[in-house]
Formats: sequence, structure tokens, C-alpha cells
Amino acid sequence: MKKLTIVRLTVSPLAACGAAALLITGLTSCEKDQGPLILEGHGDHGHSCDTVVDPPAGDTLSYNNFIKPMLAKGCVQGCHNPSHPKLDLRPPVSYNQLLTDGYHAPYVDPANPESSLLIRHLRGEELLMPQGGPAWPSEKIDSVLLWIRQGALNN
Amino acid sequence: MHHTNKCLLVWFCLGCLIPSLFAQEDEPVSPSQETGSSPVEFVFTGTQLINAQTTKIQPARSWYFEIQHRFGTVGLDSSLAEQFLGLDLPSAIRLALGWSFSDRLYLELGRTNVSKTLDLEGKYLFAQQTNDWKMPVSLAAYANVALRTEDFPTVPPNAYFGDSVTPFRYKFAHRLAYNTQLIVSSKLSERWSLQLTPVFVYQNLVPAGHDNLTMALSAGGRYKLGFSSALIFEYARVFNNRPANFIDPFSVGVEFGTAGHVFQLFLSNASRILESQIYTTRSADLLDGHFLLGFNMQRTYWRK
Repeated sequence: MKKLTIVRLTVSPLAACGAAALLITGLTSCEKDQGPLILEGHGDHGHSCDTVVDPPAGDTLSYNNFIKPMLAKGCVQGCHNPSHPKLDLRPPVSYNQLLTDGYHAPYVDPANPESSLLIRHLRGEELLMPQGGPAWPSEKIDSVLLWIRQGALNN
Repeated sequence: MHHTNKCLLVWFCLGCLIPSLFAQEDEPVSPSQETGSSPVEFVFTGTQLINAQTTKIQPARSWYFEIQHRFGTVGLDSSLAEQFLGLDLPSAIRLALGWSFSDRLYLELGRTNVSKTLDLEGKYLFAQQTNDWKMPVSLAAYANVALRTEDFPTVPPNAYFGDSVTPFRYKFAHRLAYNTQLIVSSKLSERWSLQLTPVFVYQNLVPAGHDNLTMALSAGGRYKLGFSSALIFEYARVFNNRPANFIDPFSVGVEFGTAGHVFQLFLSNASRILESQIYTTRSADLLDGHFLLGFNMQRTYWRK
């Protein structure tokens, strides 16, 4: 009768080599990379984002065109990136972070735009952001406020 | 059993093949000697159940040839006839050659047309279900390394890694993706076989905002219709990296077997073949009537 051994090792040397090769490939080159992330306003042919582009009057202010680049430019480097414990403001995640995923989310409150946490931080009513200043120019903060007033949409 | 459980835990934690092999080397358990129980054969017929791996290992010193094919996705509209069930659309194909070193271990080399991917996989059966139900399940460990050989696209100068600070550039490691699975299967009756498979996919490069590790749980089964035909089905739940509108893969089909052959013909919503591509890609919306046809074919040549 054929003997059944549940965990007997019956691997030929060749097979062991093969399996080892499989494992070694697996362990020697593990990277934890994400990307590529295309950032407008960065890099060689980027334009400066320090000045706010005025949104067309009466139109809806687009999160993706106006707010997201401002957050990317002003908040991500050195602070609100994946190493920040509470809020990650990189472009692909910033909207969800502000609305649902961030530690104190939601940071925006369309029902009470003025008391949104994001606005309070930018105005220095909470700990001033960017931390250590200088504060954003008021027209920049007003753009954020307008976006929140219009419903804080992911548009 | 206790040691087997411990090893199972190690497997979940480390998700790698070799340590579990060697950890068990010095503790062989032979319940069969006292009870006279015998292993359950043919829990599944092929080494794959549609997209998931099974605990099946072809007999020692046999080699086999495998063709996996997924036609294009069609909907329940005019595209069904216009694209002739998806046969006219671009499809995914994988060809593979495998060799069984023993009744418990095989290695397989495959090539997929999606991203010109070359892959090496291995499976080790470390516990087999017994007829007396002292061992109620078969357990196997599976690992796959996939190498994308297709050229990377050109990156614009304002491309950055996920940290938004480091300038982005491709490197060799970005070509690799790993897939590790623990397969638990059981033949419940002459007709019913079921299996459950935790899947861990690790990609060295993922889109910004995603985790490099994707976890999924695949469940599938077989219902035998006759001596050589069966109904097969499979569903997998992906736990993370689910962008909006993400849809989990689901497949149902039929299986025919003849001596040395396994044919599987199925309807599915997953257009990819390698697990590291299936579970990281959105599947088609079945509820919206979108699906694709696919088949797997395996031919085994064994030696006495």
C-alpha cells in the first residue's frame, strides 16, 4: 500500500533549486513604488502656480483644475504626503482625503463653508497652514471657499 | 494537525513558499500507517479552475502543455453578433509548459501576450485530503513571478513618484509582479468539490494612490455532471485597491476531460489570465450584460 505522509519532503534537488530561484527572484527585487504621477506646474515646462488663475465668473470652480494643483504645489512637499499620519494631499488622493479618508475628514463643509476645517487652517483660526507661514494670499483662500460653497464637488 | 496549522499561519504571515517546506521537513506525520486511509484523488481535474489555481499536481515526471485564451468583451447588444461573440476582438492568450518533479511539486513557464509577460510559477502540495476525513482538505502553496518584457512608455519631464517629489523614472524592478496563494480544497462528495484561495499580489509599481500589495479571496467549485464532464464556477473578492466602479471577477463554465486532456469553456468578466493582472484590473460589468468567452486546455504527457 502506498504510504501517505502529509508533510514528507520529497523534493528532488533540481526542484529545490527551481523553487529557490523563484523565491530569490521574489525577495531580491521588491520595490514599493507608485507612479508615474504627472504634475502640472512642476518640471521643466511647467508654469508657475504661485498666482491664482481667476476662475471664469459665474462658472463652477473646478476642483481638478484649480484646487488640486494648489494643494499639490503648496502642501505636499515635505508635509502632506504618504508619510504624514493624518492627511495626504497628493493629487490622486487629495479629494478623498479631504472628504472622507483624512484623519479629521471631512475637512470641508458645504453647509458651513466658513467653518470648514480646511478654511480655518488656511486663515490661521486653527494652527496656521502652511505651518510656519506665510499664509496663502486671501484670494487663493477665497477660491477654496468658493469651491466649498459650490458643493465641494470632485469636478 | 497542530503543526500543520502552525505552518498555515506562517504561510499567511510570510506568504512565501520555501520556509514552509523546510519548517516541516523534520516533522513528518503519517496517519495513514495507523488507519490505512488513502489520499483523495481528483479533487479537481486540471491544475487550474478557470482563473484560480487548484491543488491538483500532475503525476510525477510528467510534462504538460497549456493554452489559455480569453476572447474580447462583448455586451448583450449588436456587438454580440458584429464581433461574433468576441472572437473578432483582441484577445488574451497564454501558452505554458509545465513539469512535475514529483506528485507534489511542479514548475511551469508561461508567456502571455498582455504586456508581453513571461512568468514562472511553482506549486507545492503539502497536505492531501484523505478518504477517512482525518485530513478534510488538500493544501497547496503557489507562487508566480511575472516579468513584463514590453517597453515602458516615455515619461514626460513633469512625472513624479507617488511622493510627488522624486522625479519618476522606470527601472527593471518595475517589470516584476509576484503572486502567492494558499489553496484549500476539498472533495465533499463524488460530485461536489470546493476550494478557497487567499491571493496575495505584489506589484513593484502601481498607479499613484494604490497599495503595492493587493489581497483577494477566491472561491470556486466543481459539480460533476457525468464521468468526464462538470460544471465549474468561480468568484473572487478583491479587498483593497478598489477604485470607484471596481468589479470583482466571476466566471462559470463547463469542463470536459479525456485521458490526458482537460478542456474548460467558460463565460467570464475577467479579461486577463495571470492573477497579478486579473486582481489588479477592473473586470467587465456582468450586470450590465458585458462578458467574454474563454477556454483553458491542458494536455498532459506522463511517464510510468
